[in-house]
Amino acid sequence: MSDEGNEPAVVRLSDVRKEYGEAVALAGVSLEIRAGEAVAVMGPSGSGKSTLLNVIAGLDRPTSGSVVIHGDDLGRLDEKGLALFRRRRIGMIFQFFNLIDDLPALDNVALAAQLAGVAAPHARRRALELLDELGIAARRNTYPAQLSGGERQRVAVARALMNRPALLLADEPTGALDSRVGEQVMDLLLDLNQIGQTLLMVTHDERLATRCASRVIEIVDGQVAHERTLERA
Amino acid sequence: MSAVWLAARAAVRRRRLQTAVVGIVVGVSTTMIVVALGLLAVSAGPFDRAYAQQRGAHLAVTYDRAKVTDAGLTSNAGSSGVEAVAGPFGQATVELGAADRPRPQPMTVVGRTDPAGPVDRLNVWQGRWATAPGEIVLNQNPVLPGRFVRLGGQLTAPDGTALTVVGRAYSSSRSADAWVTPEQMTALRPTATQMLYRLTEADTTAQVQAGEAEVTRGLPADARLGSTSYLVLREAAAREAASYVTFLVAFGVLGLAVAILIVANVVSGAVVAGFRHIGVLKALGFTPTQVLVVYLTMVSVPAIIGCALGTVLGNVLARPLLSQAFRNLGAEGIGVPAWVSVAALLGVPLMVALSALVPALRARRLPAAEAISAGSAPHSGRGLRVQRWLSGTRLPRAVSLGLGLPFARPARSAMTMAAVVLGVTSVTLAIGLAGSLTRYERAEARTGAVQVEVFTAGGPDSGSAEDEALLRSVPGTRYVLGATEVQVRQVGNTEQTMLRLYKGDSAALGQQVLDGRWPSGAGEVAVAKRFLVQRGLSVGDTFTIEGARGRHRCGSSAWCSSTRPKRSSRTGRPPRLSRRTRCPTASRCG
Repeated sequence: MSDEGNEPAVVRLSDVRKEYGEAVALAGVSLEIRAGEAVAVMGPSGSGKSTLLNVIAGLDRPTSGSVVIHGDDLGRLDEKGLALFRRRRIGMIFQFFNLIDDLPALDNVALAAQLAGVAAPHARRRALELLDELGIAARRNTYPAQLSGGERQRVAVARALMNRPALLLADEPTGALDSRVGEQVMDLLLDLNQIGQTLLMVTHDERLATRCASRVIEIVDGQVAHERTLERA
Repeated sequence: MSAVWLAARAAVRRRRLQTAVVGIVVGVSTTMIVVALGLLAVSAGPFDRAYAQQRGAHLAVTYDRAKVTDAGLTSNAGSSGVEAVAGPFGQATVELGAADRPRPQPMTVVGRTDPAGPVDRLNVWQGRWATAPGEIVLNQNPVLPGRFVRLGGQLTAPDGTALTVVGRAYSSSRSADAWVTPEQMTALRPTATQMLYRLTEADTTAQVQAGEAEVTRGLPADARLGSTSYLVLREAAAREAASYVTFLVAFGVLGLAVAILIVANVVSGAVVAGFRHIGVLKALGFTPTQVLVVYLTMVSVPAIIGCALGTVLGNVLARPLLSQAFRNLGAEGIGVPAWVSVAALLGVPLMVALSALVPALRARRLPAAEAISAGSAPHSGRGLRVQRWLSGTRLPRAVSLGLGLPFARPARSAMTMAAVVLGVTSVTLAIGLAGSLTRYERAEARTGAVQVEVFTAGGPDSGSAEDEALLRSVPGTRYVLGATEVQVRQVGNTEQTMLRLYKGDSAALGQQVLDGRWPSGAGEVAVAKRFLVQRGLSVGDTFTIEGARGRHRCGSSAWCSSTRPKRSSRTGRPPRLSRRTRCPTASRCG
């Protein structure tokens, strides 16, 4: 794990509000995440965790406030700019993997690089390296439906890392996995963070938070209710 | 391979059923469109091409040799409005028999020096032109089957003159059934003179009639025996195709409309069903435009394949239809014009893409967060209000929920309804058309009108008064009528017509008289409307027919719906009375 205190802020949110009609999902959230940090966002259902993740990923726009990710002020980007931002800066891991069912594992991973303009042979080579690092290179030609939950999540992680993102976002990454496979994914995220990958994960899983995160932010009713720093072994 | 193509290919694979539906619907629609457009495009084209190539006669006039001399006709040929003229040619109607034909057949024979000339250039497609007396060239369409006399075979005139068939030629003007040398014609004792004209202006019936008035000006009033306008031939050539081109076009347009609606429905369904997929693509970094392209490609791939296959199939199916429709032109190998295939290949996918554009644009606009959380976010809007209102009614919950669904997606519901309406329209049209044709066939077949048919040996005069009395005396007999058929032609027109002659209770046949009345005496004839139209006649007009027994003048008293002109089969069989050999001119003629 890097020394976060001296690292530049990768995520900077200032008084971010997000309203859906009369419902307030985020009520003035301000926070900073520095490079190399692993932050877990926790809170009850409907507290605004996923909205916060979407706003940081540029998938949703805040009603007010500013969101600056790796120097990019998202409020100044149009839809295309946001797409390019996600492509270059963000890697996302979902609870239900969200792999493309009709592409084999290798193509699922390579797709992200190809989208960034990398030629197909290079993209596939890099994808194979990642799958190899994650221990599923042997399953590269297997379709998602034939992979186990853990394997699918590893493919999803590989896809998220493909473009070397500044920020890795994980939305309940162990939520759909049994405890044994969940442990493996936790190890994987921990390893990634330890080699410098900035990580923001939304989770209900206290074990995941305490094991992988260096900081836990608790959201209640769209506001940061509590924040604690964890010491990891 | 680009990421967009990779994602689109995966989408095509994932939605195999949708892909197949789009491909099949577009393929079938394209086939119908190509056939319909092909028929439409060539319905006038082949005739004009063939006619121009042969410098076909705009006007063919038959004159009475006893009333006007060749010199008189030649001097009149230079009238204003005449571009070119051929003739005078001696013309005779000769009953020519062949060894394998039990009955001689009356044929219009014309004496010509050669097949070329300024008007009516003949296509000698087999053998050679007649160069000496005793030789004859038959007019025959190269694409129509049936060659009743082989090349080298002999035809015999009633006076015993033997004519050897030395060639087959085709006249798009249908100026004769056969040609001989002028010397031979003299020997055959021509009764009429044929003149063929190309007019400077011949686009309308009025112009052709004006041309005819010009070329007959100054001639004795009864010198003109008859005439044929090329517009009649043209109309006849296009009619067969026109009868079903309308329906094909209608079905093609309906098919295309249904295809567009189905494609739009499928894509909009794919957008709705693929909300999460759209969200994932956007989360990965696909731009809105790239998402649009993915969804358009997803539809375009099967549409293009379906369109290509449909175009090929349409060409294959259209060819026999075109040959069938335009066989009377002697036009071999008519195909669908290239522009039709090009238009189909470009236009149909374009229309499909446009129909897919609206739902694809929705995919483009869809906020990524909303898409990726599809199903978990609460709904709002009109559909929800309707569903809430329905849930407050006394309707069973399942019914109220179901009734509310169409309002949740009104555009999609409207599209589905439109597709169903058009589909039902197509089916209704198809069933109605089949029903109408069945009724037409029944009316034409006189089903039930004739219950017992008795065949007698002999020709038109067979069946004595005693025979009729005997039949009337049979218990239960209400009506008795005698009928026979003879082949005739209108003077000045080479097309043969089967004339059915009745005696007795012919009115009991219940023919549908659409205009005028059923013949009530000698010198009257009921004909099909087509007969009148082709010859520029009206009910009440008088025309002359000629057959084996000379010329007769007929007044047309009616036109009937249940008759159709039938060209001579040229099989040489004697006329036979049966329901299967109905006649176009259902009447008697003095």
